[in-house]
Amino acid sequence: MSVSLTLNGAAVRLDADPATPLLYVLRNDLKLNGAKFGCGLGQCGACTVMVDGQPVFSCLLPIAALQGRRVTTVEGLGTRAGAGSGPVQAAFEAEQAAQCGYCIAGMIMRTQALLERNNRPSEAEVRSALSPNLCRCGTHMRILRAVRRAALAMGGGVRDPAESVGAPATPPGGPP
Amino acid sequence: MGWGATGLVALVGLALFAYPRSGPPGAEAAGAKDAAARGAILFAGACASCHEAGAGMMLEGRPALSAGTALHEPSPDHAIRLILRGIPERPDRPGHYMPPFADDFSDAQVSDLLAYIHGRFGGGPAWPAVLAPAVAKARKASGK
Repeated sequence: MSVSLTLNGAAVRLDADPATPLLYVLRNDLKLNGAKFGCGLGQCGACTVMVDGQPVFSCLLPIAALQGRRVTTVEGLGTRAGAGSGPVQAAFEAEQAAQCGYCIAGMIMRTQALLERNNRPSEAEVRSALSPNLCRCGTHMRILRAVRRAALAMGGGVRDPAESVGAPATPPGGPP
Repeated sequence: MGWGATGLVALVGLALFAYPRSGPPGAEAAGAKDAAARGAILFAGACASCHEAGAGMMLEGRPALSAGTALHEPSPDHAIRLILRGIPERPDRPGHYMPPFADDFSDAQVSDLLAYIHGRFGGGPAWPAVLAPAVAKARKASGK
């Protein structure tokens, strides 16, 4: 069975077992390795991609469900080989939001989906939107800074930011 | 099965839902069988990693879908809501979690999935063969 869909703006046809979760097709067949396998159970968010503008767990999304739909992966937001980073990716880079980096593609995709829908979210809406995605390194504060920076870059801004964008990461006089 | 054929089956299914007595004899049963077959594919890709026998969650002793009430009720409403919204995590206490599938599946796909899981794990009165309108209604009610 083949499934035709739009992937990062290009028409593609997937020939695979229709029950195969999208994540495996992306990584194993299409060599799009941005989305990560974390738990395979929809509990960690490392595999998050956008489908028709909404963030979904690609590890639990059989390709049979994707006929005619629009899929965006982190590669679709920008690559070094292409036009460079998109605004959300650039904000994560500027805030050095990655420690090990395993969760970051998923965090970026969930941020992208949120800010495309609403580029002036409240701090609570940001935290709620990102809550399905886990970061085991504990870089949540830097990830939140990146989201605030990305919201500004996308013409909006977090309405009630817990910190202003550009605030020093470590308070002056704090531990080295 | 090609997706053109799938669309045709979906149209036939909708026609049967709207005019249950107008189809040729046996067509409704055949439509339900096709829906369950499509639902089996969705189950294998989306649900089996937790709910299939031998999945980690099953080995930890969590009850099988056949032990849940949602698939034994006269109405599919609770099952529809569970698939669309999942079981959210509770920040204030430990609890069980299921991811939501509202953005993964169309109304027709949720209907196919229900046809399969109700047939395999459920009991009680038969549910309507085509549940897409009920799924659309639940989606609207929950804002998803």
